[in-house]
Amino acid sequence: MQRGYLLIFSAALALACGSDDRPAEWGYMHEAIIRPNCATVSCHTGQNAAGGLRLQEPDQAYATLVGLPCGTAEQGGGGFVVPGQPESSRLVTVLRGSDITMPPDRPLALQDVELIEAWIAGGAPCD
Amino acid sequence: MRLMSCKRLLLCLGFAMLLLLTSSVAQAYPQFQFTTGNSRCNLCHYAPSGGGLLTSYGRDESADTISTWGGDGRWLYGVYEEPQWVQLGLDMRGALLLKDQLGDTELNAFPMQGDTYARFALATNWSAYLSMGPRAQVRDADPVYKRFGAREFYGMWNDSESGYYARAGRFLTPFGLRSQDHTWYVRREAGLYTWDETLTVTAGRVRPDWETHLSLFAPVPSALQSGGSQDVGAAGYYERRLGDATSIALQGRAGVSDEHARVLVGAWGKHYFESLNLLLSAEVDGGHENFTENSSPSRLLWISYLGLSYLPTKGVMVTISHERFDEDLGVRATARDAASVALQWFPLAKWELMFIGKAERHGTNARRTSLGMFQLHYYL
Repeated sequence: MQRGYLLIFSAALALACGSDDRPAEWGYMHEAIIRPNCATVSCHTGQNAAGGLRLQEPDQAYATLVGLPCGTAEQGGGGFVVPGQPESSRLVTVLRGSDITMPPDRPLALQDVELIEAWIAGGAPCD
Repeated sequence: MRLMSCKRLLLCLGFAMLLLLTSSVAQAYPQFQFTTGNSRCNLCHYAPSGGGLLTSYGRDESADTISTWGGDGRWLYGVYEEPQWVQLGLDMRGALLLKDQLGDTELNAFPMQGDTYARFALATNWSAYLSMGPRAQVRDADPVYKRFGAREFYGMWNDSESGYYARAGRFLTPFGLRSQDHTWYVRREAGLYTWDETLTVTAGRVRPDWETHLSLFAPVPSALQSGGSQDVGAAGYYERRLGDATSIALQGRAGVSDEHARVLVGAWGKHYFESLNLLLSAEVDGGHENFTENSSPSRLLWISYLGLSYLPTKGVMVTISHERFDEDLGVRATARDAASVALQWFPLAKWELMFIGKAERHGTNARRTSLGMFQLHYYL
């Protein structure tokens, strides 16, 4: 009986204080963070393309942000992401609100920004 | 007298044309359920689940029951009486916004809404409905036709005797508290934001003490100015009214796209404490989302709203609320919280003054934003 309570308590604690073991991978981040927060109705969808940016589809979003087609072996496309250098990436600057803040009115939780930074630090692969 | 009426008409139409260059939001005030003595939405709205164009009864109620000094709620103040086969409407809203984003402060004044409505009574029990307005976000290079769009258009069969209905077209699936404020988390995060209207087929029944709506939905093709959601899915909603002061609802919504599969299950409830002029409203939705990427973990979602509305005197409403959205219950510090106070005054039929103050925390690592917004709302 006590063991059951301990299991329930542990599960509740894990839900409330869960560590961030999400993968710093493009496929996950696009679906879980970029698309729901950036490709919203009046922003970076194919329809509206605010600022000329389309982030709804994963491959197109990758090419837009990194400046290279997904799957290419080249380096340094001159986009919003500098692979390996989160501190030099424009994407991180706007997500952290150091200049303008994106998304406007509802900035990302720092946990999400840090996941994106980890992906960039790992070379920003299109995986 | 006639000249005065024509001047007023021209003034109204001129103002309407000006605001047709603006953006748009949906219309429905869930606080009016019970507090106005009406227990269901379709008494005042043509749509079975509420929102949009008002019925003639709803127009009368806006003057007699809702506004401080009454007035004339009829279309064009009764200057021009519509033929029986068509009903028209117009919603206009301007806003003054002061906001603080991570320390940056901005002040903006902008036209916020310019919706036009038309409902055509085609035959006994059959009707067609169209709502058009400017799009919220356009680019300078966009041609004129891209600057406007129809968020809602549908055909409907509705038998008022039995309460059965069916409608098909573009509209939001009946789900949740259905506030006019599209920024409520229970709207935005549930896929019910402005311009998130899907191609939808809904069948249901609305009775005095209960109602149910079953829907199938699919994304709107980009040629018809689609919104954000690309899901194909189904939604169900059942609401039970317990007397004249309490209502509870159960709901579910499931959608799949190329990227994910998402299920939301939730409930909402309202109770009106008539002797205190207080309405308590609450909604909770829990969700599960799977991603098609093989290595991506699934996640559990949480969306909630808790609000208390106080109606101290006729035409005045004060609402305090708390909202929460957690995109992943398994990860610490990703929840968003919002606390807000809204003061609404309906001085005369067709007019509303509104002030909203809202403070939000995005994740628990002290990323904060706040805003104060004043709105002037007029409808015809």
